[in-house]
Amino acid sequence: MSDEMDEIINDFLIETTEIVDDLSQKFVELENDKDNQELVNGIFRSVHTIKGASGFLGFNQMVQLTHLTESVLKKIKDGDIPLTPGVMDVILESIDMVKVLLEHIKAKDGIEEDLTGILALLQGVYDQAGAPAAAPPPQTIQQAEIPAAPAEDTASSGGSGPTIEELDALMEAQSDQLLRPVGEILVEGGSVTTEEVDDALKIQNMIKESVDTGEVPKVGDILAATEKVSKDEVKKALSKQTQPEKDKPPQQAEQTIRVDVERLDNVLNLVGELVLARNRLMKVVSNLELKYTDNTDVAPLAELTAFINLITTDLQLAVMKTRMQAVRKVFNKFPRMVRDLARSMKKDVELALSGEDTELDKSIIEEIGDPLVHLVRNSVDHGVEMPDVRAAAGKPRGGTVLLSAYQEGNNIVLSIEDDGKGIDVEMLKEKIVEKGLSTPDELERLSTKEILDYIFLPGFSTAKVVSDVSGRGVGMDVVKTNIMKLNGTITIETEKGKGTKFLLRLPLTLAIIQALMVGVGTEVFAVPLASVVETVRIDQSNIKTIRGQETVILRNEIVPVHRLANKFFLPMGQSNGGHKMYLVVILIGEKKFGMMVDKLFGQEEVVIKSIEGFSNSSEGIAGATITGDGKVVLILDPAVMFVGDLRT
Amino acid sequence: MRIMIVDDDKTTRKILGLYLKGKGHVPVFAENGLDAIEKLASNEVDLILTDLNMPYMDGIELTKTLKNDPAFQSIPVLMLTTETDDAERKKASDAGINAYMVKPVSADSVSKMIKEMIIIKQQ
Repeated sequence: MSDEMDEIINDFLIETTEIVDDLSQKFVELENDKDNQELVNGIFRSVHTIKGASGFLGFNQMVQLTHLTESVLKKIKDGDIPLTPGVMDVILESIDMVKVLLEHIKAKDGIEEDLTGILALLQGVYDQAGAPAAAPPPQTIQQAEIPAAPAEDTASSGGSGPTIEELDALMEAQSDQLLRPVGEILVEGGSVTTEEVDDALKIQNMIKESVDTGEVPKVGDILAATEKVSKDEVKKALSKQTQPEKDKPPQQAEQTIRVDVERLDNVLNLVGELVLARNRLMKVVSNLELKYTDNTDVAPLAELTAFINLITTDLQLAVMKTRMQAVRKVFNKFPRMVRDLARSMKKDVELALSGEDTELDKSIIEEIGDPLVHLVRNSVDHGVEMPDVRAAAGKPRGGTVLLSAYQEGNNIVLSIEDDGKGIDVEMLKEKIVEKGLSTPDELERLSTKEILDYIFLPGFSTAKVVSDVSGRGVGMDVVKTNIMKLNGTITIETEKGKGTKFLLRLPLTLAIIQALMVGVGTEVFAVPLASVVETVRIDQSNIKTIRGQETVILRNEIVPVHRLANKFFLPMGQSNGGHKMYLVVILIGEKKFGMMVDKLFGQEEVVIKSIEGFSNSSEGIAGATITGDGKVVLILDPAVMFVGDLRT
Repeated sequence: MRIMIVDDDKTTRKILGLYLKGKGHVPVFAENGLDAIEKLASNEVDLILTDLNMPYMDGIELTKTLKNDPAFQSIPVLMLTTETDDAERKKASDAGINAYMVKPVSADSVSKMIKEMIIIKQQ
């Protein structure tokens, strides 16, 4: 019994959490579109559903709260209470409390929240409508007598019944068959216009409200009575209504099953191992091919290996797909957040979303929330100006923040764009000098992009007045670190007076990457290919030391050079004495630098294995992998490895 | 027992369905009265749990239709609704419902009620 209940409660939590998330969005929409009756109805029904389900499972606090919220919503629905921002705040607060209660249910801690405050607020709003008494408290159970049912024995089918998955599928399948409203059919048939149907619906509503009991006329009847359409036509439409559209092929139910994340992680891990084994196999086979060119057994082996390679790649993609989730999951919380922020700052800000269906790996979705929150807050707080300031600058009083996601090659790009005041680079420079982070002379030599990068340094804040919203300059550096941890990059584009745009580029997945294998002395390292721009062969004589920093000039661009050997205290290989060496040019954000190595081995697909716990000084190491020839190789994280040097 | 759940709300259907399934019943779902009638044509059920207010055809109309049809009139109908209005209740019982419960209902009470209805049906 308790297991079953657990399962139902689990489902209840999933369903209600979805509803609540959806609600927040609907409320924000509603505030901009106050007369949207459909939205109000939708919200009312959602709260009603939560109440019903909570009652069924005996969550009394939730019933108490949702009952009063529902009563208030009903008044709004009926037009008894105007939807003012104040009323909206109270309702949103009650929804927040619903979330808190859901958390308690989830944690099974049995803690009861003190609801008196929020209930009093709701009651206040409710009474505002001039209602003499509160809504009747929800009745627990009321039972009517059971009239004796006609005695007839149908064989009851016992058995264990369908599984949850089957049940879900069954529900989905059954929910496809919805009847279409008569009005819609009539409009489609050209008999009436949409306006006429709307009028008829209004009449129907009026009748519904004024008549307590008795029949409410059908839309078709009203249309016929007001002579918009003939009775025959209504009849025809009705017959079409009861006939499910037969020409359409039966829609397949969307079948989904829930799988424990742990299991998926395990599958991904195994696929990782498979990729590694595949890499080794391919290496062995290519060696064999070279050794035994004439042997007839080698060709089929090579063929089979190629096939296994293909399947492995497909499998890897398929498994990665199972872990993909739409960014909608993250984006959904922003409309509400922006609304609250804008209100607390007395600004007028609209949040536009685009590309919510873009998919990212689950682990990235989980990590990206906090950095995004910070950036969006930042745009609302520092980007968008006060309405008066905007008006004076000839802009619309309301600002817009656009949050979008799209795919670009092997990356997913998330952008946060505002039409605010932009970043004043001159002011930024002053600030940099003031903070002693650089000198005016140095700044003169930097490009705008490089100057903007100072924003990501720890402890940097440009806000003259520190507001409690975007914090005190803590954050931007944390944002950057978090993005880099995800193998992503962050860049800023800004134009004074026009706005600012933050671009986050993230990899599709974290587990498997393309890497460039490089050698220093006898050691081999893997460098994530995403950050590699090019590799060049340079001569020792090309290296010039400028103010203690080794640099080379590549196509008229000065690129600082770092020796990988020095980082790992390795002796340089044979090329040390020679004159030729390889430079791996790496681009991190807008920063370009070269990493000097002895050998280049080529590109390889590597599976990142964490080495946490094995070493306490893993700075600059993203992980380890096993190469085709069975060697364990460290994967470098050039962004972190040279980050200290980047600041000089 | 095969129990049909008629409710226009997905969450209600799901939670009721899971609960009944846990009790060893087989749930059949319908979104409104018309949907229920259509599904009854191809599904034999032993009991119907229906909501009152639903689009296209409400619970009262559904009950009326079923009780007037010799093929379905023996299926007991249990109505679950938020409606507390006496006139509505009278209409429901006139339509021929076999029992009436006011939402929010607790899981236990629904279970108890179903048991009672089974007993009555089997007599």
